[in-house]
Amino acid sequence: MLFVRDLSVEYPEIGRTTYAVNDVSLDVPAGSVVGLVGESGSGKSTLTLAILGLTRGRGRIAAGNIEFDGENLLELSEDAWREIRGGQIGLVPQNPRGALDPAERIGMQIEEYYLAHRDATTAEANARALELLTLVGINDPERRLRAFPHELSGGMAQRVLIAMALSCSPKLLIADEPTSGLDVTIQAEVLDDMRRSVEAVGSSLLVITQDLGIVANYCDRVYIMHAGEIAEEAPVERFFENATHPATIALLAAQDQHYEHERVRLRGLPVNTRNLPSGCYLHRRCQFADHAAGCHDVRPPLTDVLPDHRVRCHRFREVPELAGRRADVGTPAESAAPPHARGAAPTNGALLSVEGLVKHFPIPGSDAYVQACQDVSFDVKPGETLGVVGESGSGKTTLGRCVLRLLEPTGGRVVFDGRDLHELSKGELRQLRKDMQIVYQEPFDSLNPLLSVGRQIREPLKLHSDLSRSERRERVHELLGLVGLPKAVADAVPQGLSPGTLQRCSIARAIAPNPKLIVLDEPTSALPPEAEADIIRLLNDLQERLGLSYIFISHDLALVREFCNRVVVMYLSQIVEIGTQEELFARPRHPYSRALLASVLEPNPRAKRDVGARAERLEGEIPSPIDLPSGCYLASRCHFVRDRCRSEPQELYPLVPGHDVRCWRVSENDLTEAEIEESRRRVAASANPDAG
Amino acid sequence: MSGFVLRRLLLFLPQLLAIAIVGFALLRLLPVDPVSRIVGSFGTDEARQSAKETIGLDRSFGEQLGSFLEGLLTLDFGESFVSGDSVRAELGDRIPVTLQLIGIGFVLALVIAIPLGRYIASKVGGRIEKVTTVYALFAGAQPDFWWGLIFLFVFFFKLGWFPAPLGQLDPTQIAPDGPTRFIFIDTLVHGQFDLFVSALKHYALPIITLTFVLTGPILKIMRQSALDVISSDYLLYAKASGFTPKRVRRMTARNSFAPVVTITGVLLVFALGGAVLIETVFALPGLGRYALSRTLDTDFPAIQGAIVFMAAFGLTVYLVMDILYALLDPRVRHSRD
Amino acid sequence: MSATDTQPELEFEEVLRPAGFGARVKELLRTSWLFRIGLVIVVIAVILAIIGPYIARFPLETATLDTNEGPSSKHWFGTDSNGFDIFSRVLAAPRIDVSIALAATAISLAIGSLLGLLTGYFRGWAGESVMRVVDTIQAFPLFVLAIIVVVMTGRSIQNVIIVIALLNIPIFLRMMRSQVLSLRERTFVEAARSSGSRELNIAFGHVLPNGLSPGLAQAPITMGFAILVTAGLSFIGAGVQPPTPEWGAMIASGADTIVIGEWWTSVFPGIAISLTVFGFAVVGEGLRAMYLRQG
Repeated sequence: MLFVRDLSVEYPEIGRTTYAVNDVSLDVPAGSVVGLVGESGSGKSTLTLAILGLTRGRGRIAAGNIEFDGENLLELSEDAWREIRGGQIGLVPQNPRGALDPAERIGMQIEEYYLAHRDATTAEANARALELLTLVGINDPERRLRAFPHELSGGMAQRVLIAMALSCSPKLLIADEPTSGLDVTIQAEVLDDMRRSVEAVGSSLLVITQDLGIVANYCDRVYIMHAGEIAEEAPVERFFENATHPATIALLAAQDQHYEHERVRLRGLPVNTRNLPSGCYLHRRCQFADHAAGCHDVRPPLTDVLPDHRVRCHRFREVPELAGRRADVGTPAESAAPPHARGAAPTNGALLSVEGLVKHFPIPGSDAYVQACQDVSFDVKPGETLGVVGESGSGKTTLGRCVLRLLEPTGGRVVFDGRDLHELSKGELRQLRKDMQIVYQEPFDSLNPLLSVGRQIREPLKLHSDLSRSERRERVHELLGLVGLPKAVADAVPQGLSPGTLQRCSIARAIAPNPKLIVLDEPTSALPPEAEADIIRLLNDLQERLGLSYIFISHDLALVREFCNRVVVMYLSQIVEIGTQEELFARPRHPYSRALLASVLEPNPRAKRDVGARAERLEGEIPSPIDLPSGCYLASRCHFVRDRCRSEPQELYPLVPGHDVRCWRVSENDLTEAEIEESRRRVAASANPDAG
Repeated sequence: MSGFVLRRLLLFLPQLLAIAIVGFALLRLLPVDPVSRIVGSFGTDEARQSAKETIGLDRSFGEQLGSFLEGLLTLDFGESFVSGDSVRAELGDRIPVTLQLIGIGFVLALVIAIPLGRYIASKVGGRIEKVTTVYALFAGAQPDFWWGLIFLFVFFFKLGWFPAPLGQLDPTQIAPDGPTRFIFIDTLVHGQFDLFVSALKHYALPIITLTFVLTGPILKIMRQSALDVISSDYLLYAKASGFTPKRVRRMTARNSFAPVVTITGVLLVFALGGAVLIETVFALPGLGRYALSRTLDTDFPAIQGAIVFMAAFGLTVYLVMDILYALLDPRVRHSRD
Repeated sequence: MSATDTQPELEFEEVLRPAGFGARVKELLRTSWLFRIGLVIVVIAVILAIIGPYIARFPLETATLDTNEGPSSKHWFGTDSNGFDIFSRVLAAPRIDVSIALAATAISLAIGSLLGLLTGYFRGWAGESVMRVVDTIQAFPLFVLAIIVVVMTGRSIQNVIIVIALLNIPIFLRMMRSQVLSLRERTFVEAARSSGSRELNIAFGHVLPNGLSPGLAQAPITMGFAILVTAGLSFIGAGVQPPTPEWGAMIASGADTIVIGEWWTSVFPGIAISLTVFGFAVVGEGLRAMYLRQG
């Protein structure tokens, strides 16, 4: 179908030329799903644009061939190109909200896309637009057609773009991080839909992603890009089990247990294509680089390991052994015990207890309000890590802010260390802030861009300690050391530092006043996979040294499983299930928790999410947080719904001590494993014909 | 959208009234004495008193304000302290001059700056782009009255291409009387083409001067906003979707106009008053010079009339600008600070 | 392996940037020739504002008999109808023009930023009312407002400063306010709060400095504009009065004779305005590009 040969994209600059894509060859056979993986800045997106004959800015395609469906694309006229773009090759771009024309209604944009490639009337185009929005699962599609892009959430914009790309049934679909803005339950749905539509018409799919779960579950073949080059290409099983390139191994090590992370990790930031070193572009970052092998001087060629497995590394024969892949580790699903689990969590008294917390955001100019938290109660014990899991809109972030009284709750009590936060005066609350801190999601946003890092770490010290000026300076250096940074960082401003380093600075600021509790609000979700692993290790280390308690807010179930003692699952402002990490991950009971767990994509091609698991997936409309139903909030999406669910508000029912579920069917043993099995079978049977 | 326009319209009258009243009050609070202007500093008390009565300043502040506001309803601003004529009639003579000057000046500036700005945005880094960008910065930071004088020196005194700066027409020519008081329209209505051409020659240098300084900021903004669109993801994606070049151009135009609308509105409002400088240089009997000379004469009714007209003009421009902006950029319709 | 066992090291390609404004201006000076020219002009203008009147080769406000002389080796820029030496007066005028611009801009930057900070950070009906007033003021042709107020209050330097400052307050107010409205939602503001900082400290210590960049970049542009307004007011006789050496008034004194060929009286002060305002505009534009780049 698509054969790319020796493609290069160059950016002419004064005095030199840089290559964002360098000598890349890539095949996407008909009917297959190919994955393209790499760090940000490795040239993936530039490559996908180049396949469409486009470049950003002043770039240009300098060399190579693109053969698509028997035609050499680079020899086409502009008119012929237009038929290919969108008509034959559909693109789902990154940054979905930025890719839509801000001044045009969604419906018009889909219609124009369709009419650009099909001879149809406006009415037909309109009908097609409606049909497509329904297909990608957008609620109330008629209304959405009249919406402007700024009225859509990122996830919704992403679906609109998927709808557009599918509208002309392209022979090749290129999806650039197609689900990065989506919640896990929806991600699974969208990917299933995309794969199904590819299989149905025998077209092919090129997925660009950093998520190994997607690669393992959906791709047949994988290409790794690094610094504009293909570093390795292999069938998906070989990619996971016989990776030979250090960049591939480092990527794998961040997400699975087969490698010892420290032994294989790449040092430093991605190589900048504007400033490429001699020899292998990776040699400064690679732990296996060797003068004798020529890593420092000779650019390695792409070499065949097997006929369908190529790698660009001088030491590809030795690297797998040096990296030391442990074959005896089971799949991550089996190694359920968190490596850091500290046995049973301490039980002596609660450090923090939240009782019946409610938070409403009134909507200006009306009586309506957004219900962000409803009747939330839980405890956190000293030294414990409590995970709070939920999708966007579940209220988990609001909860974190309310617990620290950074937002005023509408109702309920928060007792910290024996003191009711809402009985404290403003001054007392400020004093107490030294005991409870927070680390935020966005590394670039949570530090003041004008002030030096050191000054920002000193701020809490100034407020909460009577250290002298020089002692404070001393303490800042000590804190930086504690989070693994050199002293020199103290005098630098945040701009220019990597996200991982910035997040370490934020952590240093949080631990500066010796707090007892830290709320971690998605502390790693803005980080690349490797930095994520580092930060999690650091947080574990600090907890052990300083005896901290954490509330870990995350949408990433794998992280929560690895990191937390107990877990709270939230859905639309409520806790739907609470239990220990072991209990919850091994035996989730609430239909929502089950769906959430079932939608996790394991980075293991031999443990693909099966069709049966798809039966757990949620369908139907998510209620608006302004207008929640009177009964169970999940009723509109649940497979196991009964009439009673729709009318009766659900409470948290205790199952066993420490494990509560907000579902009467579970608590009254009305929802049996047999019924669930039956439902799985039904879905599997109906899915089989088109699953091929 | 209609809700947005309605809200915006509801603001219009209170704002106009506020400016009118504040202007009215300001004149009476400031340490100026229109009476001595009329009778001289050494006038007798009787003369002062009778002058006061003639111009109505003997009444209480409230009474004066009341009759001012009453007059506003019928656009009657009273009689000038200085000439004794109806201020409305005087404004009717002066306003068209200024509107013709800035109207034509703005149309020319937009016609030049928008396509040029769009063009250089696609040539960033090139020689033409660099020169034009420096020009835009330069022209936007110039004293227009001085350039008017320079143009006069070169094109009137040295080259003799244009007539002496003595108003809309040569002193020997008489402007037609009505119907619109816009000389370019009235001369055509009466079929006086020689006068039309003469007016054109008299207006040419002032308009060139104005256009020269206006192109600067418009060019700068147009270049920047076109550049933003050209490097945007949605334009790239439109290309990747196989949209026709025509559609891509429409997208670029539509998305880059909003900031131009804003700057044009701001400049237009400023130019209405700022035109006094060019009017002075070329002796054009416009609104700005009227406001200036009557201010120097402490002619309250005339100043009040000028204030009300200028405020109405400014508020209308801002109203139209906001609506245009909302049409171009749907984001502001929903949330506007 | 715990984090502190390894020697802490920074990642490659990370840059330690010093805090501060100076370093970034240096970078700008290195990369832009236009900015260098602009800065030279601004520096000269400011120096002349300080020493201009003292380096005059002839008395500034004393009429002589050498009237209406063209440029010569004695009077480099010629003399005007009062026999004033134009060269001396062109160099002395920044004392008036640049000082007025500087004072007016400083006042409007300070007041505008403060109001913008308060109305943006502590939102409420008071802030809303301020904004409606600002809207209304901005919709009025400001040059006419300036004429009316300056003429009616007496055509003194002080009144010109106050009026120009008032005219520009809305610009700085809006800039600061729109910055504050987005800054107050930034995470580092909440982070300061969660450290236990007081609201007022956050507003002035974290929000204000970050919100100031657009206003500071605007300041040179406003100064250029203020010079134009000052000169324009004097040109039509509604500002600083002759014989005070001021560029606009000097142009006015030659405006009647330039059409009969006596060009030097108006041309030289005009060139001075033209270059000075351009210099300020270039510096402002450079600073603005700088803060836009840093995000």
